[in-house]
Amino acid sequence: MTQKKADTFQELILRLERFWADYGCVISQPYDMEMGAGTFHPMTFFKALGPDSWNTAFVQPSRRPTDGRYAENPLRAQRYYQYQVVLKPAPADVQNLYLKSLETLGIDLKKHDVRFVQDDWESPTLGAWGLGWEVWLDGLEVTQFTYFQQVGGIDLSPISAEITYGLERIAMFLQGKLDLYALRWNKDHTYGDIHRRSEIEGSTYNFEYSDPQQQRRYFEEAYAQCKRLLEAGLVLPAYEQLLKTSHAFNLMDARGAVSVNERPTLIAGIRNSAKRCAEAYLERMKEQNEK
Amino acid sequence: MKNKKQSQQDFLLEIGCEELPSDYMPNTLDWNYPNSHGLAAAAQTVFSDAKLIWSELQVFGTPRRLVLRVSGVEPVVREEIEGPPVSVAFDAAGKPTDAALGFAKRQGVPMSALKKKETPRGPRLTLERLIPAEKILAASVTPLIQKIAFPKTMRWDNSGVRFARPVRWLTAFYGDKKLAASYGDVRSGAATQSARQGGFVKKLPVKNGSAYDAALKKSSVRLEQGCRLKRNSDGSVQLIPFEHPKRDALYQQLQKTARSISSTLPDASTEEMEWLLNTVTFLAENPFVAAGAFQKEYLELPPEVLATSMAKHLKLFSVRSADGSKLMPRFLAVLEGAPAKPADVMSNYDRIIEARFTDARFFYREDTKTPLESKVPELSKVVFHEKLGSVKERADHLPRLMQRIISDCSLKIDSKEIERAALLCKADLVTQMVREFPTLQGVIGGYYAKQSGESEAVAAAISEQYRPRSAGDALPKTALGALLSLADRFDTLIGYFGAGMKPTGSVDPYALRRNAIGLVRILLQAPAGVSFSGLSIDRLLDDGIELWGSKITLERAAVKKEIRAFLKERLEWMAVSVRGIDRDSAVAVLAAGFDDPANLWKRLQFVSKKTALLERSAKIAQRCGRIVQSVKGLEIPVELNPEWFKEPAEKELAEQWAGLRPQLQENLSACRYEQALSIYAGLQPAVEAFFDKVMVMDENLDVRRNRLALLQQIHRGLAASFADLSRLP
Repeated sequence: MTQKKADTFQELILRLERFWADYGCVISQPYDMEMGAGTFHPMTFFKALGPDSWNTAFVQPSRRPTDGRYAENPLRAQRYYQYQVVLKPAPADVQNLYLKSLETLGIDLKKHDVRFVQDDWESPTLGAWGLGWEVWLDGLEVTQFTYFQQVGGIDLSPISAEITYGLERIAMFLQGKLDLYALRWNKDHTYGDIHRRSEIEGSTYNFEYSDPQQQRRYFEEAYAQCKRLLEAGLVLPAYEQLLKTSHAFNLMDARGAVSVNERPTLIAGIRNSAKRCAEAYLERMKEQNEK
Repeated sequence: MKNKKQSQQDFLLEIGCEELPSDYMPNTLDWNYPNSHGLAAAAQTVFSDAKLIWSELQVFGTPRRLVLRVSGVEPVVREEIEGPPVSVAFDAAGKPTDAALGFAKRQGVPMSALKKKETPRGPRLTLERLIPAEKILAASVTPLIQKIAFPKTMRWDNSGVRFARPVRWLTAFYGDKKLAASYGDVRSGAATQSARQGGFVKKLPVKNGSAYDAALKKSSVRLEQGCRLKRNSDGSVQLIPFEHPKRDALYQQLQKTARSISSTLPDASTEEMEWLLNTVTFLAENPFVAAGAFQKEYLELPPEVLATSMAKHLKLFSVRSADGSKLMPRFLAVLEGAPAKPADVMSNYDRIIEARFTDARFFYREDTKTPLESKVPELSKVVFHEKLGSVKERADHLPRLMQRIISDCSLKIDSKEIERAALLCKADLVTQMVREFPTLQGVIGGYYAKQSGESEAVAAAISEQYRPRSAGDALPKTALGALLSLADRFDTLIGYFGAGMKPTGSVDPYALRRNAIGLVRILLQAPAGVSFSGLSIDRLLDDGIELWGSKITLERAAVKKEIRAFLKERLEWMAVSVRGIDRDSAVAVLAAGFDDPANLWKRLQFVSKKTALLERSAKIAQRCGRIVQSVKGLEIPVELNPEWFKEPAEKELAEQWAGLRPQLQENLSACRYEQALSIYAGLQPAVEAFFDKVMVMDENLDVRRNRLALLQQIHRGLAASFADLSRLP
């Protein structure tokens, strides 16, 4: 049954945590490094690989430097929050489960237009892709829903369902405001109180002060370091270097410092690292199982 | 026989799935059968392999189900299994040999069940078996589903089967009997599902095949029709024309709702509208149309931007005022089912589309802060094709090609405007608006040109340069626009063909066929007050090849020849499929060249009328032309040598021909075809007399060549510039 509306940003997160905890998910915590999306979180990237069952849910702050708008665009920001749920194997009633989670947020679906609209998801840097939908609530895209097919270039079995809630979008829907900064974070504070300043400074840094040459060096060093760490059998530290290369790439991109010709090369570099990390992870799992 | 008829039953299969991509549905429902890989095509193949006999097959669908209905399925399939030849199956005493006994054993039947039968491989021991249709149908479900092809498929469980989205339920009946079918881990059951209502779906029990429709109707699922096939008694299959009841009803509903807010919908035949209509038809199982509104202030944006934003982002229909003159601040949405309070849902849509418009307005304001011309230098960084250089380099070709066309055709167009239009036409490619809405290239450039103070003519030409974008799209209306579009299309064709990237088979990644069809459409139908008479495609190709310079890697003559052949194919297609000219006439006319497109259409019309006069002329052309064409290995001179004429009949013909030739030419170049053919047909008695009295293939080669030269001249009299009538049947 539909509950009272989750009328603050934090209440929205708490409800989702409760719902998925009750379902049996491991409530993971945000990863403490810059990443473009929840999919980069090791609890998604690595756990989607291999045969073991795994259900998890967590908030992940996500950075998209090129989306910075100096807090002037009500819908776009260079740092925002995703709520990610990974269900492995994907249950047969996963669409239904998702809809129930919306109801616990206080959305009375009978009063709204719910659509699952085709979305072919792909992360060229992670060597990952899947098929699914963007979910529309009265035309507002509030969630990405994907059946992962490959991660790190490796075919998955079992298949995971990845549900990525756009928290700000859902909050906008619940609070009836199409302005991210006007959202109530809690009773006393708005999203703008908490993030407007950092969004302006973040945009300024991304577009004006970040040093593309320096980022290129970071990129190259982290790329090399990732390789060395893999040779030493240190999979997670190697993967963390991959996260750094990915973020350095995004920052270069925001400064327009990635030429059309080198873009595919750099992306392929990150993808190769992702592939090697995924293979090393599976190799290590196999060794553990053999012991 | 009667008994058999009664026992024929219908087969029903429902493949229930999570939301399929709307773009996949037309092919999945075989709208373009037989060039489709959908459910109907799959069923036809699988049933034919299984030798199943049926009378009619239809498919239906929504985003969440594909339905196959087959009527008149014979209850049994007769199967013949061939065993050993009779000569090997029995010994001299007529007793079955080991070969025969072994065959019976393998098939699990006694010897008495085997019959001797005449086969293409001689008489053989044969087992005839009757297999119940229900067994075949149940077993056909998996291969049938597997055969449906999609652009992308996925796995969703450990069974390993693939489909466009997860298959979640199956319903399969033969008559009233539930069939045990499966796909991966999904097994058929006695239930279907309702449409989503408030997001959720309900299970609906289905007792038997005939109860299925009622169950769907109760839950308001509206199926769209797909392909319909009839099986003839000889096993061949024919398409029965079918309609699109759901889409058509939805369009009517949209029109009705538009009227209720004093608006009109755009014409359904444009490519954009067709796409949008198909999309919304397959985005809802139970479509419900509702109207929304946005603030009038957004109408300051170009209407194309608003309409594209609505269609692309939210699949909304924009509407125009009752007289069609302007965009209204309203729109229509197709929802999944009627919500409790449509007005609440629509007010959400209103706010979301306004947020999109805010984005568009931001782009518009940013883009127009500097004049359009300031964006031109950036075009040198935009790659047109890696082998062909930048967009800027290409745009630099356009003025000369445009100048060539106007000088050929004596058009009066200001050279400055040509330079301006060519300079600015691609500048919108580097604007934020076109990056967001690529389909609006050109249109946006037109608006920005006007904003930057360019002349009306230049702005209109920039706006029209990509027209026609599709078969249903309008042609450029201004002279400068048509000129720019032509130059752009010729330049594109020359570049791609010259660098060895012409289309092959069904592979046409640069849409060159579409490009060329647009080109010939403009040539055949110039804007009012403009004529492309006098245009030489040959010279234009020469200019283009020179402009592309070293980017042309193939031999120049070959490039020209290929492009000419490519244009000729498009012209023939246009003439036959679009203009309704018979193919023989089109072939005959195009064989006489198409360098001057202005008179091409007149020639086509004239020849296709097949008047008595034309028939008479054709006879002359055929008699003369065919004998000339049949000559191999002998060079026929162009000029006649009167010394070699011997017979009076040939002298007479040569004289008559020489006498009427200038008049014929004069009338042909003035497009007075009636007069020209009357003159030509006057040759008929002399031609007949010639063939009666003169042996063309004289032993003396000089005499022979001279006679052939005369016939060739007469044949070419029409074939060189009017039509090669010898090609008519």
